[in-house]
Amino acid sequence: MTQPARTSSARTARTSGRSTSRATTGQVHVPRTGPTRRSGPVASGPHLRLVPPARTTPTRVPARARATGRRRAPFVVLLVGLLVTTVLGLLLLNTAVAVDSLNATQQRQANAEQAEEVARLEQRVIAADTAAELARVATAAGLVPPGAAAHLVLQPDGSSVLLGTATPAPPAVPEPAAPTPGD
Amino acid sequence: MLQRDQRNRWGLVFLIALLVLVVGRLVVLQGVDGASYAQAATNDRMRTYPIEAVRGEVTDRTGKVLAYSVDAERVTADPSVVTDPTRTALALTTLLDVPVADLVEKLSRDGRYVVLADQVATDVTDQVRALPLATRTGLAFEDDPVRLYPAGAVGGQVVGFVGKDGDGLAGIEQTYQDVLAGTDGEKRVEVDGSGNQIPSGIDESTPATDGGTVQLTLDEDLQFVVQQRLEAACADGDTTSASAVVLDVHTGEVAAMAGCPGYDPGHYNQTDPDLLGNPVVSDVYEPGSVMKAVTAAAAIEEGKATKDTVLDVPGHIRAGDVVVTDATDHAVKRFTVTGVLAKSSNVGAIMLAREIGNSTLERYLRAFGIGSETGIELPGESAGILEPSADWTESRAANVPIGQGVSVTTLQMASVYQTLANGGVRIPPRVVSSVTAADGTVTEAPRPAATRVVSADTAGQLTYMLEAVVGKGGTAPLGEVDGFRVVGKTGTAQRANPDCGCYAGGGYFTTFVGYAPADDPQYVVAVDLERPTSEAEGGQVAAPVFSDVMRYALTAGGVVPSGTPRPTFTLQVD
Repeated sequence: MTQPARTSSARTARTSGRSTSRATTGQVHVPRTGPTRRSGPVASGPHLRLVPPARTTPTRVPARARATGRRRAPFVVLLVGLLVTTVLGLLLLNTAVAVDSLNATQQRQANAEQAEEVARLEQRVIAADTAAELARVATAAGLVPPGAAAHLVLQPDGSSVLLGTATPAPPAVPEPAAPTPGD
Repeated sequence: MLQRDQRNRWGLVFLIALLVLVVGRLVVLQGVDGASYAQAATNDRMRTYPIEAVRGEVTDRTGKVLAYSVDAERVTADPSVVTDPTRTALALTTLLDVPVADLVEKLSRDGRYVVLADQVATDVTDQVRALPLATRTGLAFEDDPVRLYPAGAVGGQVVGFVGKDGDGLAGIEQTYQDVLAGTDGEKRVEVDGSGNQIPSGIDESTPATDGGTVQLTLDEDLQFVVQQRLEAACADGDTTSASAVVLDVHTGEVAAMAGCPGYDPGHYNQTDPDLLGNPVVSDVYEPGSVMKAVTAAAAIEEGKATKDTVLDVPGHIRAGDVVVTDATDHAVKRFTVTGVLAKSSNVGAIMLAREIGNSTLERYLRAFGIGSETGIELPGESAGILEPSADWTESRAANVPIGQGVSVTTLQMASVYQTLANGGVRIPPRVVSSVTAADGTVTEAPRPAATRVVSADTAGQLTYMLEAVVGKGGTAPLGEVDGFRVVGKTGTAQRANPDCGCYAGGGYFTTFVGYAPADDPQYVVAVDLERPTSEAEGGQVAAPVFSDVMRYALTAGGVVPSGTPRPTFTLQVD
């Protein structure tokens, strides 16, 4: 607190110097001006003016503070920017993860449904491929079990020999006629 | 002043002690117990869900599926949450196929967990999930895969079935439980406060290893035909049970195996538990005259006879305290050994057995596999009953050569004829072809060691002689197959009457075992019918079943008909 006071005294002296040459020669002790003023108007002689005591630094500190503030402003802006960017980035990232998670869930669900559909279709194929079902469908279509088969066997000399006796399959047993109404 | 200093000193000590206490506690929390607290925190965030392995398939030799699993769910409910049991029951009754009254009763209980229906198809549970919220509130779903047997009863006794817990209880399902079941996995993930998985959180899931596929040697088409034919036989009014098996001559693989009555593995719980076995491997019977082939083979192998050796065969023969006769008593006939088999002479077979002696006959019987398990991959196999020859009485010694006093399974009898058809080399029957792991690795089932039982010449002579059985003058003309030369032997064995423990009134086991074509055997078929109330012989009732099965096996197998005529047999000389 002592330095600003001295600074204030010097500035006061310079201000006074504009109106008196004495001011350039020595220091002005501020408390002494009081009695001088109280002694009444003086037409000549040094014109002293009461200068309020140097009590604060407002005239000098704000300037330095402004300078410091000017120096710190980009840093603060950078910090705020980084903070905002980070928050926004995190938000975006979180949103993206959530969206991906939702998509993954939907894909999994769709996949499961497709797998179920495939399983159902495979189930139908397997059921239709059994010997019993094929026999039933074949019989319904009028097919009958085959008779004895004959084989044409090629000989080394190129001729062929018929082995076995091909016999026609027995005729299908006709389905009993459906009863007509009133029978 | 002194008091103030002292007070300050004590205050300082107190503060330092407090600091030490706090720091010490921190050290304990962070340093000593830190790991466990961290683990507890992690555990609190982790959820573990089971991942059930999909049970493997059972297929036939061509890959046709005989057993497989599909996803299904168990529908459960928390009755304390269900707002209107009647409304929920009415909505579910059709979907779950459960009576309304049952559902209402379950949904009105005091507990917090009831099972409404097991193994419900997923398309049905999807419909349940689509019900209005007020109706489905309190319902829950759990994985409950269902085992399906698309072929139904076809091959059912071989495939077997699984219980409600998914473990195999019969057949291949039981034998290959470990292979088919696979290994369950678990999903262990980090969740948020709502129980949802955190996408980038900890994931320590262990995938399930699905079960492998067991491929059988069965041919489903042939199996279907065999079972159809057996069912027809069982419906004749006299036959109470029947069994049949088809073997590949060169590999011993079982192409078909069935018993009647059978069961559908998908509905095993609706079947008489006594019928849930596999009679082909577990039921024993006295085979009768089909055993004479072993007696004749032993005599020929021991050099005591040939196919043309002539025996003076009386109509009956005394053995200890019993008299054994042929089918009908007769004066002495000069049968060749071929004639003994073709006419199925009991006396002639006993005469051959006496030539080689009891111990030698027993040795051959055991070499053919009688009295021991075949080792087939099916549970509940019986070894049959063959007492040591040292314990044979005279009557037993006369019975065993003709297939009485000795019990076998149908599979054992088929294996005997496989040995003869394969030039005297026995290959124990097998029904599993390979196992395919979930990762696609195929492991062929181990092949059993082949053993020579009789020489190829002896087997050839047996094949010649047994062809006479099916030919003119033999006992089984009904065993013929058009276009093919067939080899076989009939058997009509007395059946023990369970009421008296004697043979009187017990009826018969009629049997036919044979192979074809005689000039290049491909398949062995063994058929036996239990007929407690009938006097019919094997050649009359079992041979036709054999013929039908063999015809289909040869035709479907693309076997070329025999290109050589049947030989002319000398059965009897003057």
